[in-house]
Amino acid sequence: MYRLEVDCVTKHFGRRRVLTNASLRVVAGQVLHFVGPNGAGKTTLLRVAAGLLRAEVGRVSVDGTTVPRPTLARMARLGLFFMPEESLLTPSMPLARQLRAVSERFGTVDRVEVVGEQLALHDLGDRSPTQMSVGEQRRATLALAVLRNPAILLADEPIRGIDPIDSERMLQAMQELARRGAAVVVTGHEMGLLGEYSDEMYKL
Amino acid sequence: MSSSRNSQPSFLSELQRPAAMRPRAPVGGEATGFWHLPPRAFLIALVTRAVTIWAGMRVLLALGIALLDAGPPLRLPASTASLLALLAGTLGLVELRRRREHLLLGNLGVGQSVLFLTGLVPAAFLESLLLLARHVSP
Repeated sequence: MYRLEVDCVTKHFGRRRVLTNASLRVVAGQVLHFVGPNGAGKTTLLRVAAGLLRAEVGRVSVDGTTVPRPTLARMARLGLFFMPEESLLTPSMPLARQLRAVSERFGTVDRVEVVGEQLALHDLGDRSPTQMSVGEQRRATLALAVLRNPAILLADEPIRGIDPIDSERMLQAMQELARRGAAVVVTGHEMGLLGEYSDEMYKL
Repeated sequence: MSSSRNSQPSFLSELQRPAAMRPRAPVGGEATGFWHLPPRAFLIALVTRAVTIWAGMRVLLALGIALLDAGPPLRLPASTASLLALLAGTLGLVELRRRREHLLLGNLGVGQSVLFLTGLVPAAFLESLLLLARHVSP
């Protein structure tokens, strides 16, 4: 059974058709990469899967059950975490407080140290996201995602513009999440690097 | 984290708490605490912001009433007070979306209606207190 299934999705923005009968299927424990040029519809497909956009046609299912009128909160309650390209961090709150809040909520406080080390978040705890670089914000956002302990992780171009070392760190963290049973979908352009860490790769 | 950093305060020191002894949740596992409300740290920040928005609106309104000489600046009818609370809730939600914080909270399972309520309820509570004080005071 697929952990997440997006079936025959069609989506328009005004007159422009962005997706035509697009589908996405991922099983638990799998890292699936979507590559494709800008404007191919990768982000749109992920946003439909996450409940941030409503498709005109198509359905979204989690563990074989169709989700009626999916919203991000509803999908999140089914175990999904969506990591957009931009930062998810609350700008005015120190990173430590955000990590603590999420880990306490989801019973993963014991993993904070491991995740902090894995994603090289040394010395960032007392900083607010506005004092961080883009790469640091992405790593910190992924740390929130990992501490959420999601059943499904959708990451939209997480390593875009990130140096190779940090990119590998992030991809390893996502692979580790899949090893623990999550279904992971990652979009991007970096075919070589993404290919090294993927179980399957699709071109859109 | 490397052990050489242990002597310096880091975000980890803040996280070393008895809660760390809790068993790990399964993948996609249930949240601890009340699922539909934001985690406490976020909730406190949201309520603080809601109070600030409400206070700002009240000050502006009082200034407007005083300038127009349209009666006591702090005394509003219940219907206007309700509208003010609704507006505070709406502005709270707009501000949340402007800061893109709704995405993280949505990822934690917190719906838009709850986020609206985090702006509305503090404003409604404060308006109720003011109304009550008006009735109690001579």
